[in-house]
Amino acid sequence: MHPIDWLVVGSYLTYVVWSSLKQSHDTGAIKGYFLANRSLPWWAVGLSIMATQMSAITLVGTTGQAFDDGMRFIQFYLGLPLAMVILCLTVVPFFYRAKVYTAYEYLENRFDSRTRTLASILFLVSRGLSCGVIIAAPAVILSIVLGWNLSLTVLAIGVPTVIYTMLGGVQAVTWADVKQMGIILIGITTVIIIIVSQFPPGVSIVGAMQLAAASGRLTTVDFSFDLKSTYTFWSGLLGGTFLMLSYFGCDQSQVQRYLTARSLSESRVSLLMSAFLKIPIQFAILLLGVLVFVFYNFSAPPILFNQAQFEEAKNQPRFEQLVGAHKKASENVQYASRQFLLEESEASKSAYLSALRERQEIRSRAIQIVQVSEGASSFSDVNYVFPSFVINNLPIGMVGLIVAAIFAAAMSSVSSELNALSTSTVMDFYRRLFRPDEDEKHYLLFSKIVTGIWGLAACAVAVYASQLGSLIEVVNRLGSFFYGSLLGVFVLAIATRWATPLSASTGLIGGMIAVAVVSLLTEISFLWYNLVGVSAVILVAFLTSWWEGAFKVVQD
Amino acid sequence: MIGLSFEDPTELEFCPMENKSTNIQSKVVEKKFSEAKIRYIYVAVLLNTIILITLLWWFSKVFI
Repeated sequence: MHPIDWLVVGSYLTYVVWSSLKQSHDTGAIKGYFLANRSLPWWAVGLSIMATQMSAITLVGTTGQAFDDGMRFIQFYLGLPLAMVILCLTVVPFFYRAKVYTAYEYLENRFDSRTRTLASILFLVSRGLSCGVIIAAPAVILSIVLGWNLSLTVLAIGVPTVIYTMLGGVQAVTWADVKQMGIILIGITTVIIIIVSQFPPGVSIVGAMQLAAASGRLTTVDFSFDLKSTYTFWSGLLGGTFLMLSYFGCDQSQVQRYLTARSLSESRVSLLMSAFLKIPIQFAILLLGVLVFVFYNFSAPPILFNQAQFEEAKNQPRFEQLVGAHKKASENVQYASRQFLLEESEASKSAYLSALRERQEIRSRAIQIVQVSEGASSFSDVNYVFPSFVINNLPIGMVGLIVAAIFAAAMSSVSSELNALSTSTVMDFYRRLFRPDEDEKHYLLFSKIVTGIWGLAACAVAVYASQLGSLIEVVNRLGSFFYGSLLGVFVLAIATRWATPLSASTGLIGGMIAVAVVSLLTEISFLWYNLVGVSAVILVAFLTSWWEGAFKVVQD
Repeated sequence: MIGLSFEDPTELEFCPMENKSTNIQSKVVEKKFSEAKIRYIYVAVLLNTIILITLLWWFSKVFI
């Protein structure tokens, strides 16, 4: 990177740590450290909620996905607004009025200590590992694209995050998230403007959209009903609603966000902010990926976007030939694109699609060479599309801005998770089970130490996760097993009288087993797993409660 | 019908005492977003979602 880009990134990291700590007040007690003394304004909490959910994987991965496959991914978020309304009507007032520190605290009162402990353990394991993955994913990409040492890249993301989270608690996390959302949105908007300005003369934004539409990349809503297909209107609306209910209603990293608001109504409005803004923001991120695709219609893209693998593959036989063929195919795509925009006929569209297919086939053969040489049957370099584009095509200064935005996306998610992990460790375990009679100073000091330990653990997981690609897959699957089942337990807690402590525990385990079975034995898309989990929990709990005679007690 | 109920958490025994000064602040702040306003926001969210889905569908068709 150019020194100016380094300056931009360095200045951003310094500013976000300094200003977030400066804005943290009254963190001398655990209520201030974990819940900001319930003093934060709705708009800050709302931005923090969005920043927590939007990791670097969203920024880097979904742009790459849109480049490769189009905008269908936006359907993933169609259930979010409905989920926010449901949460505002049900769970939010419960948690807020109960004055809990963690979502699982409520489960102890409703059921028993065992249910709370089980739910907390699942959260700690799942989130603890995923925290490392959230650091690993962008670190790997940035280290390859920018030529940085992987461990140093992990530390560059992890260390500043741990510092302001550890020292400033949830207030520092929230105010950092506000700035990070700002830089992400500025970054996305800036890149969109720059890409459009770099189209050749005669190619307008409308023309760009026509090229993208002709290649099928503008399909946003698919009304077909196919349980195996991940991105359809129905999986997004139904499956996605349950996923969002689980994530925003049962995951401590999100629950803790809205517990910090100044009042119950501001807590609700902070969630509803996501309901309005998430889909448009995600649309912009996906549009960015589509615009990169159109950009590469007029400028030769690399045959492989992962530069490290390109350097390795260069030594393979026939690879140089493919590079030459890819360059020629790119020239054909450029010509065919211009002809299509000029003529707008079926023949020119057919020629354009044929040129795209030819180029894609050459790229697929290059990818096969990498797969064979590395023994990796599922190689994909789509996550490198956006960072590679940024490094090679944006002006000096803008590169630093976008790298800072990628850092911001990673840090905003990691900080919220570290804070939540610390809260759950201290409140669900340490204070409850080990040292219930200590003073505030003790718990506060322990909370800061625990935050630091979780941060170090996340960095360690990040360094190893990058070497074990399948670990990322395992961590993501663990999350999908856990969320739906946990939502089922909260539904039992809040909406039923007949659920007993035993039925809640058995329901939770039964739900996770049901999701595991569906995952292993069927090809149903993971977006349906939460619905499966909730249904299985309620069914198993119902049977357990019936066996215990709980219904008779309720009727009496 | 299986006994569906929403238990009021303010009746839960483990709720600690509310901080009085926070209470006063909460009451002042609550006026900004009254229950009626929040209900309007719920309706606005649902209408906004329908509009967004319609716009997304239109977007995918208009350039073909």
